[in-house]
Amino acid sequence: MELRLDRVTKKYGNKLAVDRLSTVMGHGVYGLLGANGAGKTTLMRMVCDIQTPTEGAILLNGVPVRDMGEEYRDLLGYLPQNFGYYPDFTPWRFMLYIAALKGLSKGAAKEKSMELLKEVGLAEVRNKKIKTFSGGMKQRLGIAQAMLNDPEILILDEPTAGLDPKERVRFRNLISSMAQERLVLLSTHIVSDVEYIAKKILVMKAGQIIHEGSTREILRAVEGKVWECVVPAKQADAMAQQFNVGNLKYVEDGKVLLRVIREGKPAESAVQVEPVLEDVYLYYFEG
Amino acid sequence: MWRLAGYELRKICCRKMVYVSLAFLIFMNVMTYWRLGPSSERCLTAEGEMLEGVEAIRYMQEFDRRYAGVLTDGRAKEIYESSYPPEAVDKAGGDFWYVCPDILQYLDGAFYESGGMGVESLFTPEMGEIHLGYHRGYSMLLFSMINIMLVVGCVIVIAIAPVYAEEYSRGTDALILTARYGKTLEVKAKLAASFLFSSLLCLAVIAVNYILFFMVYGTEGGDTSVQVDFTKRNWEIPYEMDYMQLAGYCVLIWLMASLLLTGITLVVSAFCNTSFTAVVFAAACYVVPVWFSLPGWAAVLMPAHQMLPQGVLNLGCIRIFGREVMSLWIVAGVCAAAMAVSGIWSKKKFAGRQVV
Repeated sequence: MELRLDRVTKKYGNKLAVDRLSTVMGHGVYGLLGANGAGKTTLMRMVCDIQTPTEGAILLNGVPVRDMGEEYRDLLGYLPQNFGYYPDFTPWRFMLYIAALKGLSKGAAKEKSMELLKEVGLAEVRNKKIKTFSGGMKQRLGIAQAMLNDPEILILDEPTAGLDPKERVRFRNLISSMAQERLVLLSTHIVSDVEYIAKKILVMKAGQIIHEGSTREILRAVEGKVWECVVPAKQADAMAQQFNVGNLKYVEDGKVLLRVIREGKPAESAVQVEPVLEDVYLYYFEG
Repeated sequence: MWRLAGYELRKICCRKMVYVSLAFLIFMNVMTYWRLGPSSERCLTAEGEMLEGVEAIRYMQEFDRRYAGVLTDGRAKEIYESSYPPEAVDKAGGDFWYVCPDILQYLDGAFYESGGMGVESLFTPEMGEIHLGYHRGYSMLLFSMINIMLVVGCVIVIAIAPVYAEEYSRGTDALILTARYGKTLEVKAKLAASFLFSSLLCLAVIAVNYILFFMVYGTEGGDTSVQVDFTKRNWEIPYEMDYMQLAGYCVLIWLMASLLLTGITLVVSAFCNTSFTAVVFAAACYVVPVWFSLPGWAAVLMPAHQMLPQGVLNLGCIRIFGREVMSLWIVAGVCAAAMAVSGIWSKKKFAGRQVV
């Protein structure tokens, strides 16, 4: 399977949300990293064919997705950034409704719905109204509905928003286990969501992919640019204003341990450290 | 598709505002039945006794039965001269013409107030033979239904306006439009559920009221000519029609109005981003035309005007290919076309939505 984005552009009046973006994706997890307003959600909506590109094309195995219609939507699972639901529906009824929309037979819908609700830990509350759920529970329901039709292309827009760390780990493992035979495009601000499972990371800024590659390749961009130093608290405040500080931790004797992303040494006592993906994020979006 | 239509029907019916509006409709119906129904009837007997409720109805039915039949100048004279003793008339005073049996009331308007005009002057040949009879049940039923049906229109607007608009405001449009049948069967299901809801609501209201009235008044007098009710000028229908036919045509017109209003509301819903704006604009489409003095043909194409079936039926007939065709059928054809267009238009708008 090959999903090709060929110079995809989206304009809203004079504003360029996605700017001549080209990339190719196949099976595996693709992490889409970017700050708010980078164009991630717009890109995902175009991949889902619920927004039309101003220019360019999105092709699945050489065929424009716009022309595939139902056939393409049959392969798709989508969790939007702001997951919409019907407050007076129960998760059970909601899943059966989405299953009907996705073309599952009644029997298959019941079986798959129960399986997925168990998977996301909502089986026991399946007959309670969604309006009584917490944010995390609603998000889990959103993940479950996206997977109803065993999609070959799974688009998840900030899927771990509202989930606690344990739930995020569970979700990460779930995605990782199912990504062998499908394409998963996942956008997030939480780099740990993709750091360990993504085949490829796409760093997006101002509507363009500014860097793409495996986690290792992405990290190379900031190799030699990540420093740690222990400085007095007053100096730490000044450095936080001046440099791109990834982490600030108070240690003993009124001193502060800083993690700084910078081309050169930020302080005499600074030592180079191994970069992590979060450093890449800060390097591109805070610098 | 019908599985999806079931879910859509559930979504329509399970909104709080729909419950509230249905409760108001039931309240209006009860109040109207109490105010205009059998319990509000009064009749002065020839002995000068005032009867009320079912007793009054039975007295009037028996009185009118004596004089039922084809109306002629001779019969009208016979009814006037043989009916009420002067003492009973004096006792009622100025209210006599409101509490006497129907046949006397109608003749008063037709022959007395108009200066003694005869049958041939008041009724045209196209109206056919004018049959007298007791038809008060039909009369009161149709008069009370008009108010109730106007409220039914409001319920339809409240229930149908969120069909598309609420999907936009909830964000569920993104889920629907990315599902396999989201742009195809689902939009058809929405249309099916919407029109089904409106027709069932309209027919249920009609059925309940028809049953309530006919249970007490009976169906007697269905062959009475509608033109007989001349004084009230409710039905100025220029062709032959009796009350049974009128009751049937009114059902058709109310159903047509409900479905046309549904189509209009669906279009508004597809274009509005929230349920609130959809309700406001759809309500405006329903109510505003009532305030304007539209020409006859334009007025009868508006759902609010159609809820008053007189407008459609009083238009008369049109000659098409040498045959006289009731204007009702032309209006019905135009409305059916408008419904089809609105359904297709709203479907396309939703399916082509750019989710933001």
